[in-house]
Amino acid sequence: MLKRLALVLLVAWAAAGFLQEVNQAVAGYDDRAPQRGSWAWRFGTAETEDLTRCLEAAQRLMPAGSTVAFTSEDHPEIQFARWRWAAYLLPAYDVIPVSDPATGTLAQYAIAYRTKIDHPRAELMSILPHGWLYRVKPQ
Amino acid sequence: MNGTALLVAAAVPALLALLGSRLAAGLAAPGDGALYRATVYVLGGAVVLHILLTLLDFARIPWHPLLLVLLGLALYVLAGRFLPRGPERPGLPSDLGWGDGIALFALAVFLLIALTGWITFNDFIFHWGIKGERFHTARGTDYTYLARGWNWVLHPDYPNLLPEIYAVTALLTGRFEMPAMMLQSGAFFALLLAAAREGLRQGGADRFTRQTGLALIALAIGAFGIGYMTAGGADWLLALALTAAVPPLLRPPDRVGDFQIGVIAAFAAAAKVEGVPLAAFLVLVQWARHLLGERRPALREAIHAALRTGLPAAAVVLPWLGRTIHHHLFLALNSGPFTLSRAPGILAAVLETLQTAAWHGFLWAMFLPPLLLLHRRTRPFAIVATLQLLFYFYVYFTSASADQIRVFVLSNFARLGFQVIPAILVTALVAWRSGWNEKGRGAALSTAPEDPASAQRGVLITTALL
Repeated sequence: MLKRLALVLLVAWAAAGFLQEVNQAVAGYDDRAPQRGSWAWRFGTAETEDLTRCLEAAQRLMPAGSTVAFTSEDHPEIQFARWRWAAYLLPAYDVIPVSDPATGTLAQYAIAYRTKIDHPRAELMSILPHGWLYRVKPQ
Repeated sequence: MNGTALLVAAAVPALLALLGSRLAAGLAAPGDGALYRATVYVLGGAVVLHILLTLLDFARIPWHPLLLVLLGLALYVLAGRFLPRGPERPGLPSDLGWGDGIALFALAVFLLIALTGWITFNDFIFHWGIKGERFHTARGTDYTYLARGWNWVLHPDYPNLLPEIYAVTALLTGRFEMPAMMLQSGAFFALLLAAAREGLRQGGADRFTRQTGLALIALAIGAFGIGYMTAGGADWLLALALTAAVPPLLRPPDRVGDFQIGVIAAFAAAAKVEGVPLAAFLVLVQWARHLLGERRPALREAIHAALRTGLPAAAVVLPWLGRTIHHHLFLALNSGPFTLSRAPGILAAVLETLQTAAWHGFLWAMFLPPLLLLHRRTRPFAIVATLQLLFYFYVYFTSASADQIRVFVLSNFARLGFQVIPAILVTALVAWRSGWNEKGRGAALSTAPEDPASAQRGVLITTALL
């Protein structure tokens, strides 16, 4: 009998935990519009939606398979997350962080998100939503 | 995303199950329930798909959707022609209860939230999803892409089953869309619950324990799956694999159990790098059960058992090792000297992680396997789970990326728990409800068979066991 009671209590505890997580998830989804830190970025948040719009505009101007340098004016940890999101959103391209040593030799295009690039080899191609697209001149 | 694409995505696990069902003669034990059979068939189908895609990669043949469908069809027909048929199909479970209802509810809620993308795992963006997208675009495993210096963040050395499933889903639906991939996590959750249900049934748990146990596992795993944002990650596959391994590990070793463990081990090895040691532990423990059993096998029989359990995993691991070494994909970060001085940091970080909110205390269950060693029937599973736990800690002591140990442990220990906890809960319930001093053999015989035909088979199994 005690074992049965313990099991029922465990299930009740798990049910309470489950409902709490569901409640938090639903409330978070309803409140997804405000800007948040990089580890809170999810599909549908303002940060990722802005980046999606920027990259959708950029990929209309770059041939698939190009190597694209990516930068944003963020704290390094956020830069990393933003770069990974950019890579996910541009699967047909090789997306390199601007700081990578390979950028100088491989990058054909550069996307600057919420920042500009001022470099002699970066030639402005287009103004994007929340960013700028550059053609990288050969060395 | 339109409904048709979601339906096609949902058909992927069903197609894998169809493909795997052709291995029924090896994969279905007479006493296995219908839902569990479907689970091992999906795992078997996934392993066949993985090997097929690997062969296409070796031959440099692109993964065209029509080619995949034709090859799948050809394999299905040929297997039907040349492989022996499995045992009689059991009916669907007739003993459904409130625990099944709660489990279905938890699954449906998880799936609905997952489809929105709101609980998508960060690593789906950072590597699993992008690999799937890339393989879909490249119509093959894009080793050139994986080998790029900046792509170390993708874990290029990991096995690729999950991205392959994503790529195949995208090829069949026509484009890579996040909800279709999240649907696969729901499918893995459903299969995990089916395996947990069977583990409790074959473990001889009474009806009340089966229902409460299934509800408990569904709610605890559902809560973690939602709260920790796990949809789209590969940890589901390992949790599924270990849970599916419970029924054959609870039974005395037999031919079908060997095949089941072999396929489950191959599935784990194809899913994630932690799955490779898990596969090794599963294979070794199952083989050792033959060698150390009451009826010592002859050399020939022992070799056959080793082949049944080990070959499927070898067929997955060897090509993976070959391609990873050939393309220089192994990361130096994954290895390093054993650094005992990390122990206090590891202990502190593990204690901190045990308070992970989304687990609601259930993460402590991760430490049950050593206790389960005391129970005869759960001992084989407990050895596998304990070895897997030791492997996790070995990595903490050796991995170069664990030099900032607190951050490292906090970033993954709760997820590692997710890989083992569903199966641990099943076996713990089996041990707890049957009493710690239970002698083990034959306990499953108290299990109510699912249909009259299986009742007859149950008598045969009983006779064989006794």
